[in-house]
Amino acid sequence: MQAINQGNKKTVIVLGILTLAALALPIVGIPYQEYAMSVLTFAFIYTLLGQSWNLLGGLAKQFSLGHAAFFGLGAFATAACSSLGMPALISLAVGGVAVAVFSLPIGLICFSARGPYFTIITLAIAEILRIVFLWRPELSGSEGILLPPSIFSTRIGIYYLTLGLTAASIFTFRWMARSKQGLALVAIGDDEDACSEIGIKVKYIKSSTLLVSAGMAAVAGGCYGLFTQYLSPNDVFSINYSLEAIFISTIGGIGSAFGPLVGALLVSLLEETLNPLVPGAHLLVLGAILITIMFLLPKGLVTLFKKSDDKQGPRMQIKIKRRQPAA
Amino acid sequence: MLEVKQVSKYFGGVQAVENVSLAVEEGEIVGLIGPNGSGKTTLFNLITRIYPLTAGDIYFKGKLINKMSPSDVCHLGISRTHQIPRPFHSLSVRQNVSLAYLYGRKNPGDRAEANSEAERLLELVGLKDFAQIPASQLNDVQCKVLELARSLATDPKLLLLDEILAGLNPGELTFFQELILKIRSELKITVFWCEHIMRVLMKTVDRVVCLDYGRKVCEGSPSVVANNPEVIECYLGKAAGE
Amino acid sequence: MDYSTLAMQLFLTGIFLSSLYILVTFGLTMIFGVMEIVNFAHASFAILGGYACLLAVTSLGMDPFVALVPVVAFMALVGWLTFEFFARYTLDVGDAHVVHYYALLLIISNVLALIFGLDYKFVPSGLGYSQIELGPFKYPLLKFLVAIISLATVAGLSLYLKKSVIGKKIRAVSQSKESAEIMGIDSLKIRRITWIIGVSSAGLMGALVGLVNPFSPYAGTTYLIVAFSVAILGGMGSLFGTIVAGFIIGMTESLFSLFLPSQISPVVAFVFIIGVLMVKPEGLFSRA
Ligand SMILES: Nc1ncnc2c1ncn2[C@@H]1O[C@H](COP(=O)(O)OP(=O)(O)OP(=O)(O)O)[C@@H](O)[C@H]1O
Ligand SMILES: [Mg+2]
Repeated sequence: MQAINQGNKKTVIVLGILTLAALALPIVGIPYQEYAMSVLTFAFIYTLLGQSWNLLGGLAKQFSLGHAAFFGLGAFATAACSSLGMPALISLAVGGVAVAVFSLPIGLICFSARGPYFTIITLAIAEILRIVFLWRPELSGSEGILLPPSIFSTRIGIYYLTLGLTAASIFTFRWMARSKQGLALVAIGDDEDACSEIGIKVKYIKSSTLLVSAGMAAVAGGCYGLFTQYLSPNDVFSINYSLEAIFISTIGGIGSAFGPLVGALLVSLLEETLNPLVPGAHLLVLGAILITIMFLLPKGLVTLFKKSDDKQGPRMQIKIKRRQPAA
Repeated sequence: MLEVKQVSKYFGGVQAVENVSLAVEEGEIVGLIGPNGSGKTTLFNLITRIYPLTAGDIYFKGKLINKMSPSDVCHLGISRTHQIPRPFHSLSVRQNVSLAYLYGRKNPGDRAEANSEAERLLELVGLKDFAQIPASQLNDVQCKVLELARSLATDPKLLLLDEILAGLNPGELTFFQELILKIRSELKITVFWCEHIMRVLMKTVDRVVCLDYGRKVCEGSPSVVANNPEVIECYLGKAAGE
Repeated sequence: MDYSTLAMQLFLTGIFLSSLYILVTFGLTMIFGVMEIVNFAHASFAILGGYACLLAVTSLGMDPFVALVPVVAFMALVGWLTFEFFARYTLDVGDAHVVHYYALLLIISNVLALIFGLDYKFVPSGLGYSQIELGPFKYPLLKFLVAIISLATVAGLSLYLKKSVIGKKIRAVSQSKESAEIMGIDSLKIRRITWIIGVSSAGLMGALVGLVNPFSPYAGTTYLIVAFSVAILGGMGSLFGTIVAGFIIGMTESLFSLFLPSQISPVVAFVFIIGVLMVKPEGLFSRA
């Protein structure tokens, strides 16, 4: 939670400079400008997706394997709105809200289970959506659908849009993590029954967090659709997005506000560099990096940037090794 | 205040609690004893609604709580500690307590109030110096104390203590005994207390209920229960009881 | 088609599906019971088995049914390697291990994607559409053989677990690792054996599926969910539960194939398991 120290001036200055650099990138001509913009745009979209997973997975340790469901639904909802003639930004917003509302019954379904059972339900939901979207031509069918061009199908438009949304997602996460609800989420990650015994309405807290999380993933999907202008169920509902959401927040540091940005930059860099050479290779490398990090730095890359005494924060470990009571 | 009426709980074939009826009156400290596996913890889990009942009714302050959620039961004023402490390891000691303050009460104040109340409770139980460290760094005894502070933060009317003395040294035993008496006299909290350490329990409580194999064996003042042949039998076996 | 023929068709298809589902779940649930690991990469091993069989048949020119033997041997080798270099290090990381296995899933499926591409492939069985006559009924010979092989494997494995010394040790560790260790059982060795059995049986299932249905590197997801559905329905870790649950899900899917187009038939199992988990969050036959 304490990804950066409050009042740590250096961090603020560094972040300020980075933000300015990101803002200036499309305007100031530098070598590899297009490449950098494209890496960053996808990094920003992935940050949204990773941050959305981070809200539930990072804080409350609810390991969803179905965030592709919200990503894909957001993409298709945004596409539907734009093809009805709504302006791109409105489509994105409507898509996000619609998916957030849709997540309420989903939450009801999947939060009745815990641990690996929860994970499986989320995975199954994403898979059901993929199959149903492939099946019904009025939803998409296997051909997929096209989106009308908009300001966000230009490199520069989508760049600034996703940059802004990323900043917003980081603030949202920090705000949630530091709120009363954030505290409760971390406690839920430790021990759900003990939470309900001190008066926390566990399902309510999880579902309301899922609402925000689903909306965020949906906006990520919407941005993806607006930029690529083509959506197919096999792509946007693919388990790869669910996995990437997890990797992005885990590689960068689970439960930390800047973790997903770090992870997303890495993923996007790998993807943009390796994909043109050997398609799909980045996922392979990603898996290898993740395993290495999980064994060596269980709290993620952000620990490298922290002082040694500032490494607290929610731990990945859920199972508490309890001492057996004396017989 | 608390009325348990003909309550049963089966786990598959295991009859963990079998047709138990008992009552706890306001202001009392009631002890719950019984050999290992006699259903004491299960009874507490039934009262806090962690497990659904197989049969029977539980009333608290005249309200039927059978169908309530654990969080509603907490808001009604029942709080508990666990036999094996379950603090929130990812939170600091103070956060553990202030979280219970923020969610356990009907009208909680803001974060600042929660923190100052948490400090006050931690001082009461003697954990004040550890307020800022992560709960994962506490030892077992400290975890128990933290759980006690956490339960108190929800402003309970009835406190369920599950073997809070297990594994303590004599000095700590006296500390806890005094603390429990203080909780009743100063905080006006009724206590229902399950314990194996008879020496301390019998000195502290007003009344004792004894369970064996999930059934209520007997109930009464400490001296009556301690001399009841059935109680002696269930602890020591048939031969000793005769 | 009269009703008895239809019923028989549905029944046989149900058996066919069930046998594969049980086979793939067997390893998953054993690994969970003995290693306390939720192996999200399990179905990737199945797909790997499919590709191994494909290579043996197309490149080495083996008969597909003979090829199953080297495929299982190969998968056992894969199992041994993945245990020694991966799985054994995930034994003590708590629930965080799921992320390790997500990573393994990603690695296996994308190695396959790099080598074989994303197109759907299937293993030529050489049996075409030949039918077997079972009294008055006819059923595709290929599916029939596949069902027989996987049921025989399941039966063999169950017998092995029940009768052999190793099998007894495996069951002991799955009931309580601590007690088993006190009795002098080398729990690491038992876990290695369990893992290898799990991986090989998944690989065999993948090879058998490859004979009947086309598959791609990412096709594992479907079987992963099916396997988990069966495992959860049967109560994770319970072999008997797995067999019962496998038949329930296989038969249900076969029945629904009457009303639903084939593309969405896997949805039946998914919806089924979601429903079960909503009503009974720990699975139908769970021990708790
Ligand atoms: N979740 C559960 N599932 C199955 N059986 C259970 C469960 N919880 C308790 N039991 C069984 O119910 C019986 C009563 O257990 P309980 O924990 O209530 O005993 P206890 O009186 O608290 O014992 P102790 O003094 O050792 O704490 C035991 O036989 C126990 O095995
Ligand atoms: Mg107990």
